[in-house]
Amino acid sequence: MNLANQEGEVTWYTGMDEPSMKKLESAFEEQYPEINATFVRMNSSELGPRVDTERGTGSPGADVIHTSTHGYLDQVLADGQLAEIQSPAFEELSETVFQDHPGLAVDRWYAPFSSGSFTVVWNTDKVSEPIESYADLIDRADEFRGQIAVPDMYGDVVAGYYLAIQRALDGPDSSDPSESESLAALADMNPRLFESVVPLTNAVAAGEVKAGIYSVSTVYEALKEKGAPIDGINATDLDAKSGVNANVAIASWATNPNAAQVLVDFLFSEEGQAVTATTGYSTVRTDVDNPNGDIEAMAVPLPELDDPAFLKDYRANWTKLFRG
Amino acid sequence: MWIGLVAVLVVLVLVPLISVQAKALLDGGQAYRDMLDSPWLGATMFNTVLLGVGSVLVALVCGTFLAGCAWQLPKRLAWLSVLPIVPLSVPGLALVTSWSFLLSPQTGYINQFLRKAPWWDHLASGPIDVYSRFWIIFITGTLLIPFVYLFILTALRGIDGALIEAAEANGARSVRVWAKVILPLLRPSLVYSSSIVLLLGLGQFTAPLLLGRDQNVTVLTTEMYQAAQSYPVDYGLAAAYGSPLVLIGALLIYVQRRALKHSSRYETLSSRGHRSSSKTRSWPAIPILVYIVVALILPLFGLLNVALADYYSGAVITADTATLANFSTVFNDPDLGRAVGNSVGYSLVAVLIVVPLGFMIAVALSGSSRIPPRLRTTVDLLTSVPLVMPGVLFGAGILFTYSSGPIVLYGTGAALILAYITIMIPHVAKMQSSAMLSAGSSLQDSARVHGASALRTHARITVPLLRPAIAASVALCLSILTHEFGASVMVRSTSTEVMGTLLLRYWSQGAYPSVAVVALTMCAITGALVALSYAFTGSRRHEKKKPKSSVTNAILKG
Repeated sequence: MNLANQEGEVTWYTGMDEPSMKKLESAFEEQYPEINATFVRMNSSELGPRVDTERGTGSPGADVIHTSTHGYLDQVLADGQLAEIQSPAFEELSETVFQDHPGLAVDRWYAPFSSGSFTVVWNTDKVSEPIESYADLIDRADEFRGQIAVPDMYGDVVAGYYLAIQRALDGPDSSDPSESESLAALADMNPRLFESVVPLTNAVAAGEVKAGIYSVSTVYEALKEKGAPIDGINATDLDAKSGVNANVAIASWATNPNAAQVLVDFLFSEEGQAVTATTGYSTVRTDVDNPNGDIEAMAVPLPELDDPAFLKDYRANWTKLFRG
Repeated sequence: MWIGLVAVLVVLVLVPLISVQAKALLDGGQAYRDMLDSPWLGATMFNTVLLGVGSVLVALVCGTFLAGCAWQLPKRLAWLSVLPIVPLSVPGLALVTSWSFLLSPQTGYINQFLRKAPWWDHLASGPIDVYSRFWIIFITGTLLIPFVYLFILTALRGIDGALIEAAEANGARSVRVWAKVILPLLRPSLVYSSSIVLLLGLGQFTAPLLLGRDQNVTVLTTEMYQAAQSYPVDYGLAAAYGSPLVLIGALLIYVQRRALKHSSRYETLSSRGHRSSSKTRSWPAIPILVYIVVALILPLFGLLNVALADYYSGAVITADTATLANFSTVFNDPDLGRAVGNSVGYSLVAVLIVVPLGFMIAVALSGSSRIPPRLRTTVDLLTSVPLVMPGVLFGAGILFTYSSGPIVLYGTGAALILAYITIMIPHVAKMQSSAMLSAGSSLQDSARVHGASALRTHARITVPLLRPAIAASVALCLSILTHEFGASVMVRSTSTEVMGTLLLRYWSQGAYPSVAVVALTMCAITGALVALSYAFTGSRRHEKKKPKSSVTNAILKG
């Protein structure tokens, strides 16, 4: 702790939405006033290249990385450039909940501390009947043609999302977008493509499109609080369940390695998890009261997505389908 | 000394471009093969050419028309001729952002207004789709109008009024005078400005990046950006996508140099022999004012409206619904303070370096220097290169050059400063060179005859004479660099974020009200810096010693 205080700062790159990130940042700084935290929000597609350049040049940047792109962390790990997590809170979880959920934590290198579930949202001024499911959305194709927002194909999270939809709607063996009826129906609706959750949800709130898939409750609820005409369905009630487990890892080239360990410990601790529970994400701990669920509600990893060849083909076929 | 100057220019200009090529040629040119294998390459090339040619047409037609209007204004309205260049001081990023607020199909303010017309009231969206190829081209064209305007207005002012009077005395009407006398005289300027604007159009980045995703309107620069900034990173592919732009730029320099060899370019662009149109008219004030409303007032309205909204919804803000919460959020974000500090700091350091460098180049290019002809040609060529290469390309080159090897600059302000210096070299050098040509060399010759050393002559005579041009180049540098985006986005790191890249970050997060606040802040800071630079370096006391000079004149002469 003394070493961490001497370092006096820590930088975290995270894909969390801004309000949730700010909550965690304030809570961390309150608990560790000697450490100046810099939390930087970054899409997963942007995080990898940025961190790669930093590690290639040895320039200061991220101490702790939080990304949903598993393949990227595997690559950094293979290069021997992740530091082992040495945190009491992580230790405790490794011996308990992570043991019961193999595949979530990768030894002591990286693991998710929270999980977000994707859902469907719509503009309440433009849609009279709430959307009940993905199947309902596809059945109402004429109502939403040209008026539906979907995520563009960036990284393995979006691929996992589309894969979850096609497996839920077309059958558990469905793996190829070009043979998926549900994805073909979605593509046929002439959707607008968005880079990530927040711009997509904003477009629905603004009325640019009538509805959107791939939103999360934290983002649309924040807009709803401001009076935006937007609503969504509880992700657990959807016919296709998909979420994102963003993993937290420590860079081996971290400028502040000790403060990094303190931050990771905070994220897995009861205090950190209690704050995370207020942001709308599921949390890994089972001893924290969270309306969004604990580790049991977290997304199940899809092993296919760790295979670069599968991912490449999936992306190419999806691109042909949606970009024609 | 001159070899040293050439060496500096080689490091600044050529090394990044060579790095780009070297990266593309790694692994036996695998990156080129990947690029050629891309099923989207044809569409990307087509979009790039269409964007270049289309935006040139928009800029050429509107810019020439506006210049013609400004040229005919009577003296009491002459101040209006400055207005069409004012949009240059607004960051392109801010303008594009604002156009998306104004013209987005469903909620764009202008679209909502247009749908009130009886012939469009049946539409649920549109009639304009800002994300379509046509409107991306049109918006890019509007960004380039001031450049054409500057070129053509100066050329018009250089036309001898007697020629026009003669045509009119022989019974030619206005349209015929334009068709038979004025446009043929403008041909060199039209060709020159359209070639420059074509290059600017081909290298445009902001509009396709921000607006093109929706309908897959990709161009070479956006492909470069995506390859270098998306996981998995492929710098080689990014470099390969930059190669056609390098080739086109090199070709343009060659064509320009051949064309200028036989042209009377300086007669057309010179401020000497300045005459107004033979007949002055007041009506041309109307198109100029309309242009300012469309190109400046409306975008600023769009930004302000969104900045004062709780969330972006397309509703026009009233006193009851306006909120300053977004200003408070953004101004309390330490990232903004850092980005403003970085933008201003890096720009100032770049100015401190590039202005003296530009002065040295101007001396080298002037007839009075004793530089060997071959070196002079080399300096001239190297100075022209950044003008015809997009900023994003130099950004990529600097990223590749200084991310590994003996000198690592990534993550430091030096990488951005280097990019900024390179981008500004042609502007600053040409401005000072033109001012030097106008001033002549008689005073310097006299000083030397009286025994003054070259250094003393420059310090006591040349620099004071060029002070207005130096003021203009400082102002131009600050106005371009404080909202620079193309190069910055390639080389910035978390600690070296500048205003333009911060705006992109807010944009990609969908925080549109924050985007609007940052854009307005950029406009305010750029305006303040330009005003300050004039206050410090371009005081009236000094202007009296020389004919009037300004950013406008200096650019035009260049």
